Amino acid sequence: MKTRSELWATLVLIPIVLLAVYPFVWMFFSSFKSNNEIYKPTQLLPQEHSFDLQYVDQLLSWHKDEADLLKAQAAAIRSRTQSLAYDSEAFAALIEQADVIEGQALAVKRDDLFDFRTAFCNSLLIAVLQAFGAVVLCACAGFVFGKYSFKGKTCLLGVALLTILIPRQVIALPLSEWLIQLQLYDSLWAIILPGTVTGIGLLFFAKMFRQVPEELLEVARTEGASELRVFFTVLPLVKSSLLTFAFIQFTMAWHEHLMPLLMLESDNETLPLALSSLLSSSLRFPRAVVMAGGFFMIVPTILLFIFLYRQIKSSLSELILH
Amino acid sequence: MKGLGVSARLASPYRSSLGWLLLPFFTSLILFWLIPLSTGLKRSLHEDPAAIAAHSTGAPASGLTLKNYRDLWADSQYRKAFANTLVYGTSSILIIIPLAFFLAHLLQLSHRSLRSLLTFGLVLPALAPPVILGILFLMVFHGRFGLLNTLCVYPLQQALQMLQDGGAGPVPIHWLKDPAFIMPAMILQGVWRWTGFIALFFLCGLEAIPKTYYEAARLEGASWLQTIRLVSFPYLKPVIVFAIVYLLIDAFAMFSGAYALLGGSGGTDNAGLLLVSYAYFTGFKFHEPAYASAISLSVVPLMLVVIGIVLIIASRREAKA
Repeated sequence: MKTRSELWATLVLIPIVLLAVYPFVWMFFSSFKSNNEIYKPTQLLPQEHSFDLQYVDQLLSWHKDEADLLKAQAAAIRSRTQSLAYDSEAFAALIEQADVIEGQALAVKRDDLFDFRTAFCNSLLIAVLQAFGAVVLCACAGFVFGKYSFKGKTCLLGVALLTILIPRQVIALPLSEWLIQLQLYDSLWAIILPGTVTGIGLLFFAKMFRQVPEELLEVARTEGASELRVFFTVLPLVKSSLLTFAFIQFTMAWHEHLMPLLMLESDNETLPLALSSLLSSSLRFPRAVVMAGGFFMIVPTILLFIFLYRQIKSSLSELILH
Repeated sequence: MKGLGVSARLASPYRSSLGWLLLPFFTSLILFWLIPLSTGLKRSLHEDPAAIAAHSTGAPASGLTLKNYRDLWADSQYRKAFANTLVYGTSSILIIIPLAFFLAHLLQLSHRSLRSLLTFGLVLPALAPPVILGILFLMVFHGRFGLLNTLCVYPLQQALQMLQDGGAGPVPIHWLKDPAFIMPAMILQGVWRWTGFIALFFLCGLEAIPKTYYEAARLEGASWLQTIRLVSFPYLKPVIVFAIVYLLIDAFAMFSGAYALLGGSGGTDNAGLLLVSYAYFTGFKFHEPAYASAISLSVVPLMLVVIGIVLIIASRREAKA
């Protein structure tokens, strides 16, 4: 009975999981493909003969009115087919600093590309600092909210709740003008500092600290520790919540699009900006480079998630349990 | 209650150190949230310089006015963006929550060694930036070659033609160009993105339910469905409410996904225009900052109302049970 339902559940889940994962696998393999192959999403693996005639015939039969155009395109592409075997040229194009990257089938001028290293480092710096800042601010305030009562607590809590209801995206315009007044235009701090304001973090840590037994704090106090000292002795007990929240903040900062779009110049951009501008550039531009960039972009969050999986799960269940 | 007892016994020098713990959070809250919010609010109550120049009667520019907010009701684009946001939010929630609930149960049933692998696979879409989703979904929704068309739409159309015998061959659906299909495409993207992540939440909740509850349900002879309805559902309800609020806020703040998917526009006939994107376009492309502020801030009361309704329904259900 048990094993049969186990089997059924797994059998139902596997196709759903494949549905979730397939686009990423496809994206990875697409960074080795030519543009023609990329526009055939049903084909997963890059092939050397990247143009099959059956496909052209199929297209011709569907679009009879455009047949001449398609035939001309097909002929043009067929003449280039020999050289369409890709290696990891797309990855090299992103990382290498040469002025012109010329591979077997890929020729990209540096001017057409964004500065990948700068964008990657900018994104990483923003995400790490924002996560760190948000954890420090929210853990400190959350400790006070979780363990003490004081005058005006409800009022402050209400304000913190409002920051959840009115997120950064809603006040992005006045916020960006204010940041420009603060001389933060084109500075990474313009993204990092506003990112540290999260009401959710305050509520999260208040709840987590409330679960720390009061007796522990009492022991520290009778030893003569100040309240600040008490805070630091309790901190290791909520390690998994600290890491979980840092992970969530890192991911959100890593994904942030609107604020960098408003605040950063194009030679100092972040990865999401760079990729979206690359995506809207000319159609002849090798899409493999975009795919390679996308691959670089998902790796950090995936690695972090794998490393922190246990911590995230334990602190989530703790959050739900109480 | 515990907290109360403590604070009463604290001498004042200790309490001042607590202020230092609160200070950084609220300083940054005032600097990077309250100040821009208040300038935005003030701005939204004045007319745009461009608008004043347009009716050029030399009316005083300093007067407070609700004109921007009144204009919102007359603005058909605004109503469209508003309706789109609402449709996107509600329909994605209505699909995601039951689906994630179901998936969480399946995950709990699946074998322990496979469970984390399967969960990881499901969460993967939430770990990818919306820009990447835009890139990937261009391929999924592409008119001629898209995955959705080649794998689902064409076979379906062919099957239909077999039944009706006749027709001119499969007709591609231009998911991102046809106004009728832009919103379904965006919802599909949202569902694909968030379902696994919400399922992880539910799974954590399910694993926290004491095993004895299930034992008791089995001894009473409850079926699988009854167990879900009587044990899992009431226990998971706070998590479900949290997930709904989370998805709602995400829908109201949705920008990046739509921006990447529709190439930085509202889509054909503005069928994919959302409120944040509309505010962005008005503020930066058409340079009407005051009107843009009004657009952004008009969301706030709506959000308060919707989330209030969700919370009230949740607590009323609790009272009944």
